[in-house]
Amino acid sequence: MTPGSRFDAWLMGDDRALSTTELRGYRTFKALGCIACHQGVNVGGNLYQRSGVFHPLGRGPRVRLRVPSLRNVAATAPYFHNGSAPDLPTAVRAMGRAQLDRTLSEQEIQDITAFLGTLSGRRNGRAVAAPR
Amino acid sequence: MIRRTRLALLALSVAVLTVLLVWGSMPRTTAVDRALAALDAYETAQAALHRDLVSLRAGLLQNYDPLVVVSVDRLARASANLSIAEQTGLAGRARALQASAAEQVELAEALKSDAALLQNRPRLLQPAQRTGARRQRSAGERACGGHAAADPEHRPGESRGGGEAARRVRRRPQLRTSARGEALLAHAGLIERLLPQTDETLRRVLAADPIADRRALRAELIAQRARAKPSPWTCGSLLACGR
Repeated sequence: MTPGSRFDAWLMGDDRALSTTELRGYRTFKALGCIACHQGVNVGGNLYQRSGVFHPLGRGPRVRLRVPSLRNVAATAPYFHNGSAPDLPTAVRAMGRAQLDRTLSEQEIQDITAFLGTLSGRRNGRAVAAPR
Repeated sequence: MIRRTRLALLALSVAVLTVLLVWGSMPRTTAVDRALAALDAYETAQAALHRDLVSLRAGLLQNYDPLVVVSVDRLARASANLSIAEQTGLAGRARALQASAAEQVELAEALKSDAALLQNRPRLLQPAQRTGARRQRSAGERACGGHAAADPEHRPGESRGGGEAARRVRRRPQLRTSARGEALLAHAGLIERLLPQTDETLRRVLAADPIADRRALRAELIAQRARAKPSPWTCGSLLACGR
C-alpha cells in the first residue's frame, strides 16, 4: 500500500495540496467520464472493461482487460497491457480517443497528466518514483 | 463372582454402546449443522449481491469497491464452504448452488463493465451539462471518505434516462454533418446497444438464483439433522437390549 499521495491529502481537506492545473485535471478526469472505470479507493482495479470501445487501442484484437489502478501511475511507464504508450500524455490521448471517442486538447491532456501525478504515494517512508 | 463378572460385562457393554452411539451421531450432526450454516451464508451473500447489482443498475452504486470486496467475495467464499454438504450425501444440490454462484459472479462482472460505460454517457448528450466548474470539494466527496469513487455530480437514475436521450439524439440526422454530431451519435448508439443488454444481464443474474435447489437442500439438511439427533427412545432401547 502506498498512502499519503497529494490527492489523498486534498481529499482530507488540505486545500493547498493540489495546484490549479492538477485540480482542473481532476475535474476534467471526472467530466470526460474517465472516472466511470477508474473509480474506487484505488482509482481503478475493480472491474474489467473492453479495450477500444469506440476505436482500436493500438494493434491487436479488442480484448477485455482489468482496468488498472492509477495510483502511482506516473512511476509505472510504459503504459497499456502491451507497453505501447511510452509516457502519460500519450496514454491519456490514446485512452480519450479509444474509450471515450474524444480528441482531447493539449490543455486537457496536460491537466489530466498533472492530476495523475498527484496519485503517487509513499512506500516505506519514501515517495514512490519511477525506477532509474 | 459370576454375578459380578456379568455386572461388569453389562456395565462395559453399556459404556461401549453409549460411546459408539455418541461417536456415531456427533460427526454427522456437526456436518449437517455446518452445511446449514454455509447455506445461510450463501443465501445472505446472494441477496446482498442482488441488492448491489440492482443499485448499480439504478445508478445508486457508482463505487464498485463494496460490490467487489464484500458481496462478490462473500458469495464466492460461501459457495466454497458449501462443499461441506458432500459429507451429508447432498453433493449434487451443493454443486448446483456452486455453479449458480459462479454464473452470478461472472454475470456481475459483465454488468459492472456495461454499467460503467453507461454511467457518464447520458451527460454527454445533455447540452447544458454541468461541467464540473465547482472548485470546492462537494459534500458528497467528503461523505464518501474522499475517494474518487463517487462522482458527486452524478444523479441517481441518470443512466436510466439515457435511453430516451439517446433516441432523441439518434432521431436528428443533421448531427451527421459535424464531427461533434458524429461523436454524439456514436455515444447514443452505444447507449441504445448497452441499455437492453444491461437489463438482460441483470435479469439473468436474478433468474440464476437456484431457489428450488436452495429450498430442497435446506429441507433435506433439516430432515437429516432430525434423524441424526439421538433420542431418549434410542438410548433407552439400547440400554434395554444391553440387559
